Amino acid sequence: MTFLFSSTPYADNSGDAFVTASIAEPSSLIPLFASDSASAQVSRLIFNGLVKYDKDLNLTGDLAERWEVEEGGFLITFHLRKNVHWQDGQPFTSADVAFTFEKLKDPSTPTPYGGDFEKVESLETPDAYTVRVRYREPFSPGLSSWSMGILPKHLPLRSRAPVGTGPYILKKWVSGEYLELHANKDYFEGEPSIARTVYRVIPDEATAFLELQAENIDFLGLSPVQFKRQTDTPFFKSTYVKHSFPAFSYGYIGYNFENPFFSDRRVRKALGLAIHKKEIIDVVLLGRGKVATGPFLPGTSAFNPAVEPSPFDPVQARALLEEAGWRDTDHDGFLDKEGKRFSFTLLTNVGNNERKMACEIIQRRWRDVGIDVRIQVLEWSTLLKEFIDKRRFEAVLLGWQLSPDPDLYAIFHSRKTKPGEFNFVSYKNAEVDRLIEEGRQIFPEEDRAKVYHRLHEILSDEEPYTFLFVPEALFAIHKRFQGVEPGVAGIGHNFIRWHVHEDQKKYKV
Amino acid sequence: MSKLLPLAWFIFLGGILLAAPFMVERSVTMDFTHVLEPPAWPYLLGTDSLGRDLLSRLVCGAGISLGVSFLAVFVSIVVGTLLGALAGYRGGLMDRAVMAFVDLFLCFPVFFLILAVVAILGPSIWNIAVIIGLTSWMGTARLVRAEVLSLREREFVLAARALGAGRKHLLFQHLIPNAMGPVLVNAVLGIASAILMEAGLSFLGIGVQPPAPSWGNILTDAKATLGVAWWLALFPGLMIFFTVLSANLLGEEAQKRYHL
Repeated sequence: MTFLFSSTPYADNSGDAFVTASIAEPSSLIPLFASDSASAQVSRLIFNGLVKYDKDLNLTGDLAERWEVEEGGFLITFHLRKNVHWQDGQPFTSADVAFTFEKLKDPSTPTPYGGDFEKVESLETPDAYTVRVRYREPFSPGLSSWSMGILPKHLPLRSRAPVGTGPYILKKWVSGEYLELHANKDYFEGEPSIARTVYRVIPDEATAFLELQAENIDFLGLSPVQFKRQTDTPFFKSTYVKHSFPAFSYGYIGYNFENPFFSDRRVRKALGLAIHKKEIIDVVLLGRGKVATGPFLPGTSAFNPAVEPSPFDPVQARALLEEAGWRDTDHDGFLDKEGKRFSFTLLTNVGNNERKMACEIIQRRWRDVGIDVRIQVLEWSTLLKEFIDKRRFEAVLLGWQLSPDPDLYAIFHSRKTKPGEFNFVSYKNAEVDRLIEEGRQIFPEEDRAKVYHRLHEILSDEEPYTFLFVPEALFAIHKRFQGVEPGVAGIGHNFIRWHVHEDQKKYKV
Repeated sequence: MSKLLPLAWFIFLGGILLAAPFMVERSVTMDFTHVLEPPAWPYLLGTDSLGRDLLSRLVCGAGISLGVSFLAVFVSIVVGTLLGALAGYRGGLMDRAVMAFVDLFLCFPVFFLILAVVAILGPSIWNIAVIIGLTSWMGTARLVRAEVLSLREREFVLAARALGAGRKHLLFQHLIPNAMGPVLVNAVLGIASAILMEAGLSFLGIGVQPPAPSWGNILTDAKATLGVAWWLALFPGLMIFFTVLSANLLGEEAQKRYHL
């Protein structure tokens, strides 16, 4: 394995290579089925959508040159680029878009993205470079759903031999070891400068870090400890550049509303007040994060800067709990009500050390206000299938990875509380439902933002989740890569413009 | 050496177990101003990533790790002895059925069986101990069966039977007590593997649940801070190493004594 990656790097003879580690093997590179992050990451290099997010998270054209939203949102017309070819040389046309849409709508296609296209009434292709999508009702998140990778109509779907329109072509996939992609010389935005990218499958974070130390990989996401302490050496400083930016995710505690403990708003508020969020960020994230106030990320248009984070106030927490009837009547140090002790289990998943540590800190803080909490760390699929899907939980500490569109339908709408759906806390609020639906029908960014600002206020006030923190994404990238521009959208947005100076190239043959 | 080390180590562990009740509070106290500090006064073995004293966590962890493995071994001996004695004494169909059951259990990769069971029942100290016990009784059952097979033909058993001893009396007063020698040896060796099993499960995060310390789950924390906090990996590693080594040496010594 080692010699493979040091002495005779990959079977090609031009340019440099970008080698990175993937924690898991991609399950499928076909965009329709690429639901895990490993798959999505590689798939994005091979396929293009009609639209994409730019550096500042504005939607711009990708395969579509431009688009128009007409008839108050009932109709979106995409005008496609004319100089685009599939990686096998066939021209890209609107027929491919129609084909991809058919696949998405086909109930026999096992895709998790079908729901994004449910509101589409019809899709027409008046000519080879125009696509008209008619919606049953105005649906603003629909626009970003067209960032879905478009599939070629003339080829069968082969997940291990994908052919797309993207900047890189899959050359080799050795199961359990690596995926190698080569630059697409005919890419419509120009040939990428980095000739090869290699995704090495390294399932263990500690091993991946050792590989970074040995300079066998060029890029790696880091944990806070690695970022702050382990990469603080002269070698690291001279070899890698470290970057950080707010991750597109937040950590939270979700309360099961079907449990009588948590249906009382005062109790949820008290639980939130008893947690010292800043302390969690300082200890668990080593300061690399912000206190979360709601389900939106600071800096996005949906985020309402007027919403204050709930303070750390155990005294008020106790007062609220007492108001809700929780008192320590038997003087055992724990609150009780009608003979029942305030005692529940906080669940989280195995393998995420930060979440486990957060649980332990929160357990102490809740203990201080008289609540008895047990922690259970469960294997991921068990946690989802046995506990969350079946609603057999009291509280969970988890995180949501967010998409740039602020729509909250899946997470907080009362119609999404069925088993397996994402409103697993069973939060039901008529005003929230109405606002979520309203937000999905408005197109202009500023008008939409108002709706989400109000939602942000309500969710912070009602506290169906205790929003904990927005962590920072931390990573190290090899110094020889030029042109890296970290933005709100991360660093992948201009990958094809990265380059290495001739004399610094590492992989030559 | 091979006799002294295990004895000294187990006496040392005994001392630790006596000290454990006094260190529980200290082992869960977090001091965020002393996070990941190397061994120094007042944290003699350093602190973990939540600023907890490693020494007191190791001491309390000893109670939990040893408790889980002793309980597991106890369960496996009770189950193994009963089934083995029954099979050896009754013979015939019962013997074949029990032995088929033993073979069946030996077929499963035990670790994965445990993973599956923990996933369903949920991890807790009791569950872990009982599950480890219920998946490691097969060796004991075979030993006891073999012993009982030979014992039941001996004269003292014949004598007891001639005096009118019942089945229960024979099994519990004569056969099982006389078969206990190899079982005890097996138990000592079993403790070593139970400790490793518990450490493995806790290391994977599905054994002893936080914030309770065990040697295995302290190692999990060590993995996340490898390269920063050597003390978090070294000290629990040494505890596991010496305990397993001592149990093995002791087991082998006993084996020699009993001429097994």
